[in-house]
Amino acid sequence: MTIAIMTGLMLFLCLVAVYAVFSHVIIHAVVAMSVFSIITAVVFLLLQAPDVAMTEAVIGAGLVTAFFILTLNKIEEL
Amino acid sequence: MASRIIAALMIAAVAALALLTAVSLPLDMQRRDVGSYIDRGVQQTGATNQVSSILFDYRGFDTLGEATVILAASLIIGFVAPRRRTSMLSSSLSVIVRDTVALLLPFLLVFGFYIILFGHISPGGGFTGGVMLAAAVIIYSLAYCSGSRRIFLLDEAQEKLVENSGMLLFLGIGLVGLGAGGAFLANAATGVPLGRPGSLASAGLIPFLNLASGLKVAAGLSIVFFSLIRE
Repeated sequence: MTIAIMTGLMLFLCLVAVYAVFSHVIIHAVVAMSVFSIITAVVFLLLQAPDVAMTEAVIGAGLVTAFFILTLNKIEEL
Repeated sequence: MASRIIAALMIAAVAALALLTAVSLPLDMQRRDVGSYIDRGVQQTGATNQVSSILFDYRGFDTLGEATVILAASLIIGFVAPRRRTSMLSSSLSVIVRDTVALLLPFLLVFGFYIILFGHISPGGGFTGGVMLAAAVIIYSLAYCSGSRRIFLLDEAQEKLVENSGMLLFLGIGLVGLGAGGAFLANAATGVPLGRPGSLASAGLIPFLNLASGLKVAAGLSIVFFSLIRE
């Protein structure tokens, strides 16, 4: 059962990565990367690594996305 | 057009590789011959969270190096950023954001400190909790300080004080190990009572190391944020 969940999550990761690379609007790419971090945190959890999952979730979805959006805001891109 | 096809092919190849490795990963929790860490980890360090026992006891010196990396990064960014104060955000945020931040902040702060202080018992630890505290500082200053002035209690100098004191605390605990006859950053060898594994006052010096690195990471990242904002 876990293998099926893992495969599904990995496929979804690839989709989100491709979307982040090829999307024309920057803000969509930033949000896609944030989703990528959250899904990676879930994958870490499935691999029984809660510490890494927590760190990845807080930094990947939290701080990195915040800094990206702040930069976009400061260059009036939003 | 050709570059798009090549890019798509490369992504497909990498995705297939990732899929193969992910599927072949052993998910069931058999015992690995990881050596004595799992068998005698709890007895030697008293910390039930193996990651913290390795991070702060067996490999404490590497964690000191890692903490120095964060210190250097935040100091350099603080140095490069200009001194003048520009406006924080071009558009101030709406009331909805302020209310959600007001609702979210206490839980985030309590949870951040919980992760730091319980780092040696449950998953988490200094670095994760520190980042959460930094995130709390960041969302607070985003929502409530649209102007250049900052209402939050810590201004630039006090944050550097917190960060450097966290670093000095880390080094001080290392010297305690050295002073008590053990090696630098030693834990059990210093004769500090390891306590009952799983209780809050267990694992010797590890909780204090957790607290030191947590404060340091929190202050360091908020310094990074406030210097980048001043660009």
